[in-house]
Amino acid sequence: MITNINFPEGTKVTYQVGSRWDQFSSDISIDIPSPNVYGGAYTGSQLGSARELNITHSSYCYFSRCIYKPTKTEDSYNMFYNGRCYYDLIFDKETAITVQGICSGATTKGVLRMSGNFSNMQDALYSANKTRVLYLDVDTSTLVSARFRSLLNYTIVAVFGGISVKSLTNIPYSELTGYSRSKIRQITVLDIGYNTSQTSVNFSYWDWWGYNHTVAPNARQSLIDSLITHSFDRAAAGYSNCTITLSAKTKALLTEEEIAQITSKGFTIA
Amino acid sequence: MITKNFTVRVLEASEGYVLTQVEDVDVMNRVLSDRVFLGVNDSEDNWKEITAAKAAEIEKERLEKEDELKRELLK
Repeated sequence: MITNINFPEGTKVTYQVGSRWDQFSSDISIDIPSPNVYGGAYTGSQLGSARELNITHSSYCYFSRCIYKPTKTEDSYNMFYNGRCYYDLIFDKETAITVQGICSGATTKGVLRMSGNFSNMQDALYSANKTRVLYLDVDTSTLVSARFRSLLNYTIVAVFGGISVKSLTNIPYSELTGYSRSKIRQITVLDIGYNTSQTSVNFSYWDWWGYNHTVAPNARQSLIDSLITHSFDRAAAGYSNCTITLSAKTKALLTEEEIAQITSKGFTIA
Repeated sequence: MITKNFTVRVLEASEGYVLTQVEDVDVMNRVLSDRVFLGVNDSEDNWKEITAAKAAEIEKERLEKEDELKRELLK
């Protein structure tokens, strides 16, 4: 039984059969008392301001946009796991939350937009299908080590928006790709080397990082921005050396002058 | 006009060898490379050559560990 749902006047819809929900109309705001809805099916053009809705393990989610204001960090655990996700995923940024497992195994649309303040992105988008372009507006300053794993899986070609690795210590390649070679070409990684104990960062599974593509037109620039423009100057700060491992293909893209600029900031390129 | 001169020290592995860290690191953090550009604070003493066969063993060990981690992830 669903209670206390207030829809704007004129809104069509809503019925539930078992755990299945159907036919929400557009631009509605939903406030659902139950924090746990398992295996539901959701349709409509917008799931607005779902303050206490947990859509874990959803099978079918067809909203084009989800604006989510979780009240508890665990609310978002495994959201859309093995489901379908055609949303813009907009999380409230006031509180850092975990999005562990979000969209893991999910079928997403080709372009996924996700924003929020995330403290745990472990297994996010793991084995997600079809996502080729990811727009990220994410505050990653609260991320801790080993909480980034597989965010950028093999299907994603381009990421618009930077990802900060400021709070991470050493970053093995599996941290970002989830044990699979990635197709990623365009991504800007911010603050490489900022953490004093960050002495190795492995991007060797990003074989095509820096190679421009129709859906990744600024790939090479993203590589330069990551390694030169937005990397931390460890040499100037008196920090120990940090080794950045790149794929052979990506390494071959760098000019001698670019390599010199990177090494002068206290990074070894391997 | 500002003129900058950069000097980069490059280590290249000998034929049949691969460069890796001297330091004892976890297999997941083990770097295997045929060419290394040293950072200003790095030293060639931090790097050594190992045979390509030994590098292949390390790579195999890493793949096995990866599979193990992948299985754990999918549980």
